Amino acid sequence: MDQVTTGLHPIDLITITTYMVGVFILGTFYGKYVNNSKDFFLASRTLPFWAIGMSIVVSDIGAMDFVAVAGSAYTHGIAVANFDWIGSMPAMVFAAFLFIPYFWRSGVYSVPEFLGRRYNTAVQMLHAFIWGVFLLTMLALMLWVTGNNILNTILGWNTQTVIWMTVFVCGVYTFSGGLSAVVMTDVVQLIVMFVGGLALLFLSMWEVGGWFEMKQKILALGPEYQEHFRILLPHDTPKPYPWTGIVFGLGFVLAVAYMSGNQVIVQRTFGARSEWDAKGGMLFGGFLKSFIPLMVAIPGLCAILIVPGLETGDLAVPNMIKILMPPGLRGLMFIALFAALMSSVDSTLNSATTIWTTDLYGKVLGWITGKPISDRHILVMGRLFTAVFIITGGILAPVVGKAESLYVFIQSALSMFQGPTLAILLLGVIWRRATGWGAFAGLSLGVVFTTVLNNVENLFPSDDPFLFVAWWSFVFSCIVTIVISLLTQPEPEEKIRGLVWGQVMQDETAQHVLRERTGS
Amino acid sequence: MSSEHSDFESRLARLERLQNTVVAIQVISLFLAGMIVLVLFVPELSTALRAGLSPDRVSSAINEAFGPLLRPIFKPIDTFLSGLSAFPRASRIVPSLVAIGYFVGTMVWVFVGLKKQFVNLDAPSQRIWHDLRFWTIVSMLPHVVVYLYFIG
Repeated sequence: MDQVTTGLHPIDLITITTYMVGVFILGTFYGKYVNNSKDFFLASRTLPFWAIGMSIVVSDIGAMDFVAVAGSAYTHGIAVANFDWIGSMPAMVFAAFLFIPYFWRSGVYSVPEFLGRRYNTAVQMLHAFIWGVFLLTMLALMLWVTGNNILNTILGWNTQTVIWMTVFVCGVYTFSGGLSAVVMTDVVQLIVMFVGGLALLFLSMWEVGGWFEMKQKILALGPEYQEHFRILLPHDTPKPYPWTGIVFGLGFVLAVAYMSGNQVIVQRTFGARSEWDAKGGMLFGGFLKSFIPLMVAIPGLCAILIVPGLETGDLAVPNMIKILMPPGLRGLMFIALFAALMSSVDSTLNSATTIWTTDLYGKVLGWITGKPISDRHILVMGRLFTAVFIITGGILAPVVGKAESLYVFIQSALSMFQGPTLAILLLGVIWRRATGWGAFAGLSLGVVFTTVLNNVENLFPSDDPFLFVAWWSFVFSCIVTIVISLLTQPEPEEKIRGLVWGQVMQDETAQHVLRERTGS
Repeated sequence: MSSEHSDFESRLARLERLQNTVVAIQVISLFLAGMIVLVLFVPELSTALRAGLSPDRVSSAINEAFGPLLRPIFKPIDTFLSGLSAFPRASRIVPSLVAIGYFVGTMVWVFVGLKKQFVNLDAPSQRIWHDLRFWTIVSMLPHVVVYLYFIG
């Protein structure tokens, strides 16, 4: 990829420096409010809905999304917007009303902890281990891919400088202020990202003469562009997003699994000041997320006319920045990319730390010593893990970034677990008869089934059938979990009290227990 | 009484240890299973560990073993859905209707299927702008409009 934007105007440098210093001061300011593990991991359960919603969006959207989604729109058309529309909003509504109330009321720190309470420790540790490893690898990858592939290759910044600047700024404020610092800096980062993204949208739309003019010109370019304005592509399309995969695989399974089972997303709602704020934050996040395709996919479509014939779609955004943005605004766009990187890094770091501290370290140490570890110990270990993970992430970034097979493996492994994880999470919440052994069988056999589906040829129309595999592995895991649950002893009432739909909706005793458990 | 209590406590502790041991065995088994998957999917590791067991060979074995079993199940579904492409108008409308139905169905579920008290528990006030059912509608309606626009 050629470097398309070189040098920075002094006004851009001033903007960038001001932003970095501002975010650093804001983040570290929250350190003074951290006195125990609840302050560090759950922001003392004081977060308002607007901060939760903004943080969810910015944690989900990384700098790579700006480049890759625009690139995909450039190559495949508007269908890529499905990932932020049908692949987000319904899933976030389900998360808000089906899962978040149980997570919030049970007072857990993490999704694996909820699964541990609902099922058993084996399910908790398996889920924690998968996500713990995935988040750590993603941390290093994010630093490398954004530092090297975007800010270095495209903008000409030194990769190591970008990585260590991010490590220092994000590391210090996450170490100091925990979830509060992460969420409040995310709020600033979202505003910056939206200003930069909307500026790019308006400038590119201005350049092509508006939506209808652009559509007409692109459709006139030839037969290969006729599907560019079709949001749901046919089942047998040669492009990677057939409608069946988008609706069933993405909309029903992957998106719901991601929005309900991804610690990075849901941890903000655990820290909500009330159940209403937790649900409202998720809905507000979904509303904000609806604007993402406007900021990334539509400029990608405009690039077909403004910078035609690019070697790869990923060059669309950098070229548009170079052509359309004047000094000052260009600096703002760089900050938007940097904000997207920092917000993803701090959120991933904080969530990885939560899982490793509470679900893995805390659990194993509890077994060894035979007694629960103290709150002070958890806080110290949380901070220690934060420091170790971010520094290790910085050191390993070049290694992980170059180990392509590891990246592919991690991505494949996660997609293998999404369908089965959603199956046990969903059944755990809506069906009181689901048992630990049922969930264990559903999760492990579901993963085996996913492996089989991924390796049998000509089962699905797409070359990369992850959307179809997600759907069918979910269906399979549901069946296995139901069958095994019916064949095993039901869970005791005391164990699942307050963790299952019917009880929480109807049982006053369960409501009382939950209120006591959360201290509200 | 005290001796009975202590006996009960020690039995309980033994039971907990036994339960933890069972869980530990489960976790170790899963870890080993994970390692096997890792070996199968990371070419460098599999090459280093077992020169004869290549991911391609495993993939091919799975394909041969399960392909004849699964293709008769999935192929008819695939053929049926692909058949929709023969009807250009239907192939545009059906996917959009399914997508719009998903949005509308979700809105109906929140508005009709859930109790208002459950949806708005802990709401700052009973005013309409604090009603999360309306938040759901306001957030989802633009999506319905977008998918309706793209039918044409």
